[in-house]
Amino acid sequence: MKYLYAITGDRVKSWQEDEKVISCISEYGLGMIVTETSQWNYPVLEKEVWHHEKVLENLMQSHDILPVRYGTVLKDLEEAVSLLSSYSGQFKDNLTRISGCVEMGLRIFKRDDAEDLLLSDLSPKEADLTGLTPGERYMHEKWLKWQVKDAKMQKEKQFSDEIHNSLLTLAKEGKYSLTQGKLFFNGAYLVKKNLVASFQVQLDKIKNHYQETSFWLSGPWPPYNFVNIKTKGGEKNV
Amino acid sequence: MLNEIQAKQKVTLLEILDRVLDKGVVIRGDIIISVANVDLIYLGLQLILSSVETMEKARRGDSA
Repeated sequence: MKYLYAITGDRVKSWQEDEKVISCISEYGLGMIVTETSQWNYPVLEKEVWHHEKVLENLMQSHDILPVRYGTVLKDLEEAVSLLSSYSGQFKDNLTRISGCVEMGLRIFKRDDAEDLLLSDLSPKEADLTGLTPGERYMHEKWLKWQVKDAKMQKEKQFSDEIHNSLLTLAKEGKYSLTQGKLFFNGAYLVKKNLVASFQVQLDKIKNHYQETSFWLSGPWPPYNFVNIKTKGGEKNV
Repeated sequence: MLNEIQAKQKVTLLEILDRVLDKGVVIRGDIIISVANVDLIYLGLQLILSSVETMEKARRGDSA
């Protein structure tokens, strides 16, 4: 059986990593980076996950790669070649898309005291509630709370868009999602290798404008978030 | 300093897990899909669900 790490557009010479021989199956102008294995299932062990990532990071120094999810095992050489044949077009399109690029990850956290800072100009004005029935007062207070929540969400979205658009000027592609809680921004950017340093400088400039948050930049990563391959033969999910 | 290094290693591992377990090319038999999004939704992995908390601890400089 073959444990699969990545797909590349080049032939790659065999090498050894953590006492495993890493080799390349080359067909249809593509390469599958594999190692021989006798097990089907790979539990999530720290050592194995580091190994997987280490192989990918070594590869990405000199090749464009499509990273494959941890724990992927192919039955044999025949299955590997069959997959390369079936998906060669999509693999090549994706390799073109990510050519010369790496992924940078960005997470943004609100600082412990940030809640108040973000909301300082959004607090509802004290209203005159005299003369209202308990029911009316309850509904009024609920409406005020909803207003604050809505304003907060809008402000976070505006804040995130500003940062995202600023970073996109140095990225080929980027995407982010907003989440609830202290970690509210989770983004990934596809950046040309020669622009990584500029990307970091750009982020440093942005950071200075947003003191109420903590920024976590990670990378360069293989482009995990920028691989887009559609299934053939139905809508089955795994 | 040691605590800081340990915390950073843990955060790095969590960043790796976020990617290698949830993103990239997925192959099962002859089915291939990819998950090309950045949502913090994980497939039943409690290990990852704790990642945010761990990252916050690391940010505060607590030893993990």
